[in-house]
Amino acid sequence: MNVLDSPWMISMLEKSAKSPKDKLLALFSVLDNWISAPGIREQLGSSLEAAPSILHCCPDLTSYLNGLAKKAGSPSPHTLVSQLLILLQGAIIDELRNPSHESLKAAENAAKAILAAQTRLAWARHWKIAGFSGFSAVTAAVITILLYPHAAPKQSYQAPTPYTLASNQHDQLSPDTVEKVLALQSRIDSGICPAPQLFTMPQDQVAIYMDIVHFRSLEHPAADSRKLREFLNWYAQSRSWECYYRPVNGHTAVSWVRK
Amino acid sequence: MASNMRENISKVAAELFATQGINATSVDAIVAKADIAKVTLYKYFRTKEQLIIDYLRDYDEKLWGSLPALSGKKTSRQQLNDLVEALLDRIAQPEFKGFAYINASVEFPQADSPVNQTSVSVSQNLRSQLSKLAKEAGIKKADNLAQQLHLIIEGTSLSCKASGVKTAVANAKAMTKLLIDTAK
Repeated sequence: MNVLDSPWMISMLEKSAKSPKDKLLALFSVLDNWISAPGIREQLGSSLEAAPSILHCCPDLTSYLNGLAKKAGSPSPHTLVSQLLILLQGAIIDELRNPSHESLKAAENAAKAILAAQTRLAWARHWKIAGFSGFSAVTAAVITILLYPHAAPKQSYQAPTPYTLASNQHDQLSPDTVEKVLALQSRIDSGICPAPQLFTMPQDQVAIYMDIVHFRSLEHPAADSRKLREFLNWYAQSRSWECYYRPVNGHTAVSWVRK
Repeated sequence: MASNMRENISKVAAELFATQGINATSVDAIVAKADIAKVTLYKYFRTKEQLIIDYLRDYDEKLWGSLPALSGKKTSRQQLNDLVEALLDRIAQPEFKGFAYINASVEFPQADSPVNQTSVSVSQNLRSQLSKLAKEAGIKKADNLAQQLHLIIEGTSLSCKASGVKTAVANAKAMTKLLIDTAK
């Protein structure tokens, strides 16, 4: 039985997390759990001995993972999946040889580093495209206004001044901001920090925050970056005091509830 | 003459072990292929186990011997990258049949088997080399990085032949570079 390529494995991954990225990473923790169940190590060892190719090809798993990688917005899903499988196979072999070395954990950490690099790459591409198209739209508007001054829209639209143009170029969504948002989201996910109450914050900020968390591309990187920073400030001032960090070893939390 | 005979037997055995597997290769098969008397084989190797252990040690020595010498001119990070790449290049060669010590540890999974212990120590040797270079490069979590690089090397050697070993090796190299570059 090739467990890696089984429907069981795929359904375990599907159940393990919500976002495609987390499902990809769950590959390692699901196997780590499974491999430490009684008898499995021996079974895996003997099936390897019978057919060393058992690890080699996993067509069903590979195509499932490819789908996940695409959904996660990876710029090169096949490469990513091939790398994850290399790590996985190396980890299984090492795990069978040295059960105490936490090889699957090491592989998971390597996978995280690779995914983070891919995310950075994907964002860099988004910025380039968004930045370029934003810039060309503004240039087109300026040219239109110069050529046909009367045709300039009379509503609240303001022709971009050199000052706003210059500041816009510097005001791209910075990787730092994205990282801060993702870090906050993981604290919220793990229950350390409270989820922001969506009704108390401006709707446009909510939308952008969700775009970042779900790795969607932004339409107006400059304005959105400002809104995100406003959101992070707002959170830091009004919500972050409720974050509860688990006490480190040796310290105990005082329970105020009478038992 | 004596050392020649020993080498000859080792060579024949190594070839059979690599192509057929260790358990599937009987002493009779080795004797027949080397065209010697069984007694002669037992004169040099008291047991088949001894033959296998020698085979693994030889393999290890040859593997290290075949790698390009590390040059002092490059930075430690670069040397680490070069070492992993050289090992990955071996996997891409058409005559590569899997690392002998991995095959041996799969065929002899019992932790108390001397063959398994040898294969563990051979793989440990590689790990400690990687770890040493990583430490020289000033990487704080050198052992973690070494473990990850080791996983990449071994995982690539086991990767799916149908989807192309060359692609797997290229992907593994990209991953290696990324991990080494981003390690702090």
